[in-house]
Amino acid sequence: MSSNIENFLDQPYEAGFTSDVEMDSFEPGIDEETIRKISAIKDEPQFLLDFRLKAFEHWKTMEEPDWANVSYDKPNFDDIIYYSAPKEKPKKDSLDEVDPAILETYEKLGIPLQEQKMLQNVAVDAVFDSVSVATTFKKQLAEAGVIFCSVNEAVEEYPEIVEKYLGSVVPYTDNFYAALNSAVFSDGSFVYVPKGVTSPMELSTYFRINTQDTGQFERTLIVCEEGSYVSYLEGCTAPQFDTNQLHAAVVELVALEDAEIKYSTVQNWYAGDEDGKGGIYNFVTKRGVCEGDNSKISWTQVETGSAVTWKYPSCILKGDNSVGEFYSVALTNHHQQADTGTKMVHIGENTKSTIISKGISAGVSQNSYRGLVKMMPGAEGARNYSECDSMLIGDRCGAHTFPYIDVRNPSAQVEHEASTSRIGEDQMFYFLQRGIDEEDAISMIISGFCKDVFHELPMEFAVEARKLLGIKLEGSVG
Amino acid sequence: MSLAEKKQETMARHPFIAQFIDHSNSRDADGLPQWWSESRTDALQRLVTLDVPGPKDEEWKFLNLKSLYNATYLSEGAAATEADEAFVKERSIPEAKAATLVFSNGRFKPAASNVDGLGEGVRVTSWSELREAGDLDAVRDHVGIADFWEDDLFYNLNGANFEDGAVILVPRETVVEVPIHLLYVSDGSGERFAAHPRNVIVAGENAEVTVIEEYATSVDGEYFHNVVDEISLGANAEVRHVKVQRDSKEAQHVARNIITLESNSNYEATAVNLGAAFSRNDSYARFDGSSIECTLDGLVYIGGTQVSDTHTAIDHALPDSTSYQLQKVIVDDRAHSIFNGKIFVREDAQRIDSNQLNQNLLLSRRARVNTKPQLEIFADDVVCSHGATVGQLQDDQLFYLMTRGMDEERARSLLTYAFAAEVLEDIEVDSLRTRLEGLLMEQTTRN
Repeated sequence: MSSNIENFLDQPYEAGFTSDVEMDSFEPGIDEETIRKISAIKDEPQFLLDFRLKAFEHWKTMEEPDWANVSYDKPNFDDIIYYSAPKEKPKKDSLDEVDPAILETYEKLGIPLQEQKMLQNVAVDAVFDSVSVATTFKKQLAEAGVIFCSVNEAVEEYPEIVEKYLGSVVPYTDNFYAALNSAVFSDGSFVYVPKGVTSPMELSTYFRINTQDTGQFERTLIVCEEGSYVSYLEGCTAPQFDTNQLHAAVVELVALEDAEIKYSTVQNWYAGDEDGKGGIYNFVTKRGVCEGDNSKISWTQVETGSAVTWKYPSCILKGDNSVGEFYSVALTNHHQQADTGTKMVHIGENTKSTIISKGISAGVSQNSYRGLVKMMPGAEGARNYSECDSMLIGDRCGAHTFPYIDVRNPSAQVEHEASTSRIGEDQMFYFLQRGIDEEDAISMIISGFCKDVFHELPMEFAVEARKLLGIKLEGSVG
Repeated sequence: MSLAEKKQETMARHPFIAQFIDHSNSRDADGLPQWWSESRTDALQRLVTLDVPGPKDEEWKFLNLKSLYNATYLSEGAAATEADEAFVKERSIPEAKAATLVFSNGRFKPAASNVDGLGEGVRVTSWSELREAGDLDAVRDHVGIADFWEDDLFYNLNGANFEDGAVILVPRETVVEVPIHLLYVSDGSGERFAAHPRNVIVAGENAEVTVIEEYATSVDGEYFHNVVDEISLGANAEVRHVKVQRDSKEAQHVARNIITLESNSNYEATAVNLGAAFSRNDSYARFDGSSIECTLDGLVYIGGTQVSDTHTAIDHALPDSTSYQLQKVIVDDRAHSIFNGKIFVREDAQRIDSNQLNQNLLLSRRARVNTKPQLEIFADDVVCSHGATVGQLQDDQLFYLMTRGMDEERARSLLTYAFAAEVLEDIEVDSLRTRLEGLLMEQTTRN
């Protein structure tokens, strides 16, 4: 069993891999012309082209950051193709054409048959056709007044909203990868929830037609007007292969007065093989601003994939009484490296933030928590509680904690604690002697360790995520 | 590029560094043993390649050191004064009467010092005395004991310039019954000077010693203390080290403490930082054996525009050891405290028990605290935890005291005192502990 999984995980970029250059692809490399061409193809308004060009000018002056606790070969930015038209994946007639090992993984994760078909691009019967599912969803959303579409569509249909909020949370000057993304972003999701509306369903990238292939430079913008609520799911538990090695996405969230945004991510991209060859570089800038009073932004992430992860979903707590939350499980195995955490910047009065981070390292991987809690002078009565727990599996991996705390208001309270532990032989023995096999035992121990985070995930995600961690750790203990 | 050219270049870039290269070159090299002049040359060679650290360097984040870097300093030799007798008397510690070394503006003052009857083979002396006696080889093996700060500017400034400081050598199987008091008195009335004390503390196998290292100022003023302590513990040795930094509030104090520990040894340090406009204290403890116990406690209590920065690194290189750390910080007015506590557990250093707690109390709206407790763990069978808190006094605690009839002001000062006093509890030298507690009480009531 586990060898099957290993084989499966070792498959390099099988899905959608083509070596011949697509008709609609640019030559590798980046200059002003590239950016003008991207913008022209998308028929973008002037403000967006200006935004891209300014970002590019700024990016040229920046250096790739090296402060994170990861080491990797820096990508060559002249070898990257910055635009290629969305590709039509070859359709399969039935699930029989799919590698049985992959299906087995799906089985274990408990992914429903219809979703399996979608993930593998199998033609599905009319009722469950992804297009029609999506259409139904779109109708419901439209009735509620929620806009959920691609960024490209949004630029066309609602340019004034895009212009107002794009880059307002993550300016193009923010960091090296955010600048690059701002210059060349391909597409992404756009969500707008009008005043007082609670989105009638959880929005998921699953159901956005034609964009199941995560772009290399994705850009997501979610705006919640006064008193509205949305829960957004990104990614999925199923392993994802991708031909792009570098992923530099930007996610911006804006919550106005009394609004709430819940953003959940499960990331299981290709992590490279057991020897650390290949794998995705996941360099993401995610930030939300609680602009209005009493607003709330909650990030939940389960990070299990990618060779190198560099990701700090953050909250700027501007509005009084606003709340920021960060719940994270980061698992690294083999040669994976993750440097992830959050920033909570308290600006408004009585703002509150909670950070729960669970890091699990196995194999020879390195797992770092890096976080910042900042209490500005105006953050009267603000509170933060942080808990960072690490679990080490095996004695060749590393767990690191880098919590930065910066307090400039005496009435603010900050508490931080961190601990490390492991799956002990005695614990395993206890499970085994009660007839519970290794796989289930690990899964249960990890579930217990990550309980606080899984609680925050939407139901189906939580069930799958729990199983996913078990699968990822198979063969690591004992 | 020749050394001279490099120096020219450094001079242009960093007059701060260049002046200390000049100081070093003008120092008396007569009769210096070869190993010492070689280490001086090494330090000089590194200095010309170094930059002054600033906020862009991770280890120097949050600091603005312009007032340190922009000043010019006299070499301590040119600022020599005699120690103020009355002042020395006032600061003397009765328990350490027979073991006191007094330094004035960084230079050893034999007349003000007293070392008597400490036991056979115990040496409590200074570099200058050893040099005069032609006995420098006694200390040779105990300097440059770890290369942790090889590229550190201040460590190398000290390396190129140190001429004096305490040398405490306790041979094996020897217990020094009385505490040893190192009293660094500074007189800031003259021109601004820089002193680079190098203190060496060596405890042989099964040896035991208590050292009190104190920095005090008889006349306030601007000066710059750049200290390096090298502390070695042999197997089963025990060293208790109390550092009290009460330099002038106009002065700058930078210190690097290197501690190397052999099996079953026990090192207990308490660092109390009250003085200096800017103080920076770094400690690095390297575990070279197993079953070692190491405690690095600290108390920082600052106000005005004082800045105090403490960085510690506990390096568990081998298995089966324990470390504790309690760092308490009180910041008042516009003061700013920074703490970074690193705990490393290297590969295969199993069964490590490491515990760190950093608590910060803000007394004023304009005070600031930065803290970064940091764990870096490469072994799985360990129990490591750290905690950090920042805040003000708890309302319910205040309320409780006030229900007992105490007014708010009194309740606040009592709670502040209690917060800080926990660190002082472990100081075993009674008169010193009482004195520090009194000082603390005075400071908390004043607020």
